[in-house]
Amino acid sequence: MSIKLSISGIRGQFHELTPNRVTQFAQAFSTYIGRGSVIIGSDARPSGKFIREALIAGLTSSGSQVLDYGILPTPILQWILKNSSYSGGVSITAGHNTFDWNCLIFLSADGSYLNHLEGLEFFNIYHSGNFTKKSFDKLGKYSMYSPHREFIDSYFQSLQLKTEPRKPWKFVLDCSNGFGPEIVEQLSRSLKVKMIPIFCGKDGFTAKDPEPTIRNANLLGTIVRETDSSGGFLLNSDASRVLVVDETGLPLSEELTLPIFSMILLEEHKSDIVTNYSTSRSVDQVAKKFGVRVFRTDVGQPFVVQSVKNTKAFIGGEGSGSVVYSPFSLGFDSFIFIKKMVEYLDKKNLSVSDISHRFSTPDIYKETIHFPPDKIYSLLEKIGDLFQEDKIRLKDGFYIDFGEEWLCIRASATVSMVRVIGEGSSIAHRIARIKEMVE
Amino acid sequence: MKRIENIRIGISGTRGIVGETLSPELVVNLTCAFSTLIGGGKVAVATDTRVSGDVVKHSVLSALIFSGITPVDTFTLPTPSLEIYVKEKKLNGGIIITASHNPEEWNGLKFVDNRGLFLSPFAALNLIDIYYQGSFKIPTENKFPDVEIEKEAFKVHKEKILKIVDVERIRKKHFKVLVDAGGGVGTRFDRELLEYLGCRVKMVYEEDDSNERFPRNPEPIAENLSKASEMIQNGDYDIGFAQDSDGDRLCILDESGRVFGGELTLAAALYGYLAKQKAGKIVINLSTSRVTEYLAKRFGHSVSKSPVGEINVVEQMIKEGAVAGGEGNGGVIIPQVHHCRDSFTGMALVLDSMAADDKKISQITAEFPQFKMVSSKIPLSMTGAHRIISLLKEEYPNGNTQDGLRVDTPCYWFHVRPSNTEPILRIVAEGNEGEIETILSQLTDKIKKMSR
Repeated sequence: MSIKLSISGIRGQFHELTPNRVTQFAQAFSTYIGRGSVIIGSDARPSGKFIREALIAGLTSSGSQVLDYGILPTPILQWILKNSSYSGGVSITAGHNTFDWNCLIFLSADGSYLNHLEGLEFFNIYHSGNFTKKSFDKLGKYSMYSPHREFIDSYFQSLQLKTEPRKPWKFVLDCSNGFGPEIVEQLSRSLKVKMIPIFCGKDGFTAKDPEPTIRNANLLGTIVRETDSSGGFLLNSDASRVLVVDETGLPLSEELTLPIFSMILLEEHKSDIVTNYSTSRSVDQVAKKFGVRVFRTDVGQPFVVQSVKNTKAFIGGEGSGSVVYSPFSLGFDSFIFIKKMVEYLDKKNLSVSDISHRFSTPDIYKETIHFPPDKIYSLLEKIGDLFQEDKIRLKDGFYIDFGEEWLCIRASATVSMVRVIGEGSSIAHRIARIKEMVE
Repeated sequence: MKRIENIRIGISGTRGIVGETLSPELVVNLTCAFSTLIGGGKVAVATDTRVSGDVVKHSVLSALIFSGITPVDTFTLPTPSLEIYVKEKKLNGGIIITASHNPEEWNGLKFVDNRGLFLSPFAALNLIDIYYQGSFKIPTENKFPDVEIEKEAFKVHKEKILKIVDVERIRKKHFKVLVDAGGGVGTRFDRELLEYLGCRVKMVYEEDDSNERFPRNPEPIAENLSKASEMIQNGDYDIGFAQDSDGDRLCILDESGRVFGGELTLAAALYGYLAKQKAGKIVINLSTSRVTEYLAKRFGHSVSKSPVGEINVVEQMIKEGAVAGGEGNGGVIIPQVHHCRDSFTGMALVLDSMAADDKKISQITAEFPQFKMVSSKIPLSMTGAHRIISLLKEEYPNGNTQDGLRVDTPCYWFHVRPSNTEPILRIVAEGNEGEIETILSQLTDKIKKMSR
């Protein structure tokens, strides 16, 4: 068995997240939240079909009422949770992982991921196997939400621009096969701009890596150029991450998503910024300009959002291309990013490249090193010992501060790999040293 | 040793109590085993009206999709309708989520093969084997089928029934019919068939979404049908029908409110049909009343007997090319419709006979020979029961030994067999009233002595 348990999700390859395992996690979640209703949604991965049924079986057999939103990006589920009285949610999506993976993401009543302590309680229930089991007359009810989609409509209403745009905007949206065109249509209506969706068939299962990186943005860039669009957005399969492409088709680093978002929001009102240790320091420059602080956390949505809640910061996000805007929602949400960006461009009468030119491209390196699965953490420990500089121990690795430069080494959440991310001109050299040691 | 009585994994399917023994895991594993057995293709899935049906169904759907099999969701559907649908649509199998006549806290799975029949005993053993070995077919490709939706599956069944009766003749009678579906699948489908046949239908328990509980114990036997009987006595009806929760078993009530019981129901349902068939064969089980046998012979048919259990009757019917068959629990089987117990066919046939003869149902059955059927049971372990059967076989060397021991004499018969599901020995006997009771008690005492 190679499923990965963490509060960022229960992750496995399509044949590993078996109906029985999914049922047990669902029963554990139902037991954890107790009474009430759970909303569920998924991206369009093929394995979501059997996972959804097992999830419903597990939740209802333990007495939870289940409201199924069908294929719906996680950020919208998170927004609905924040704006309703449901007890929790589950999203079936592996976000940026390739399509042979899937994942169960468990959400609190306020829409955020389970935090560290909540996660411990939930996993304790799972490992105990001591789940609530209801008799026939106390089982949960299941219903499809589709006949009355008010909450989804309200979500897009909340994104609505107040005024008509000053000029006709046109953007290309790469949905990474995660959801269908009706989401893009609703977004387009709310923002009053034209949106051209690509990789947006619900059944679309083409070999496409859904991780928003420059490498994966080539096709989007070409289409932006060919269609003479104002720019493009590359989303992962559940729209929790986004990368921007300018009007010439040039992709911006996903590390710039958070700095751009911060800049736009800080011009409106002051707030500290929360991000993880593994994110470019570009955001620190923005913070410095506006005189606000940057708080760093462990890597992953649960840690960033928990810190957003604790510090009362409005803005958070990660260098992987995700942002959270806490007055709006407690989830990483690409759509709020797109809204703020479009609104800003129109208000200031700018082009996408006008904005990107304000930022220098982060001198960032991202690499993966294959590790033997049984030695990941002991090897990580040895790598840590290699460096005498200031170190911060993270839940899944180390952050090493070289002053001007930094390096972050973490175990991957999926495969037996270590992710090495660093920023600075001599980081490539340091990464090569690590690789040598592992080999 | 305390015996676990609330789970049954057997050749006729699996039943357990929801929230206890019928866990999602058991349902998933059995469905995966079934998927491995049939290999691929499409499988129709149906539920009866039990509240737990949908919860169980989601586990079934998950396991089918995971195994690469396309589920065809037929929603709430009678067991015979699902079997017919599988056969007519040439699907690879079917799964019915029902605990048949068990109380409402129970649910279970019945598996249907690509002939639309319950798994043969060998296939069922194969399934159980795969289940216990736990080596299920798992997906190698990241491609999973969607659930197909079918809301009109009952129509296929209805069309087949209408072909074996004289619809116009029944319609002209405008029969007044009381139906007690006991909150089962009949609540959804009885009107569709009976009103098509021109009947004025009154349901004892109307379908009511606010009350999903079974209004009575689902087994259609006299002790559960007092309300229906009373309504007929105080009303004006030509006939009453009662069904179990998945619509395979039938029980008739006559115009005076008298509850027939399964044996007389079978005879009454087959009567008119046997009369118009060319001489052929009929199959009943070894515990079924002689009334049906008598009627069959009267119309020139020969009768053979099979071990108890629907699939045993059905397999023997197929082997012998029987024109009709059934079991004395109200299980009417007409191959022209399908090789399965079918309360809907039973209802249509009775109405057809009443219309053809222009007689009341009580008048029709008044002509039947009168036998008295009695039964007893002795608590015995499986091994104990088999030892007794061996001893009895020595004593009655001419008896039928297909399923326990059946002994026939000109005036009476008896059948001794170990139960398939409980640690008991069942004894059934039939003969003349006043005599057969003594015969049964003597036999029971004798066996009790033998078992000491």
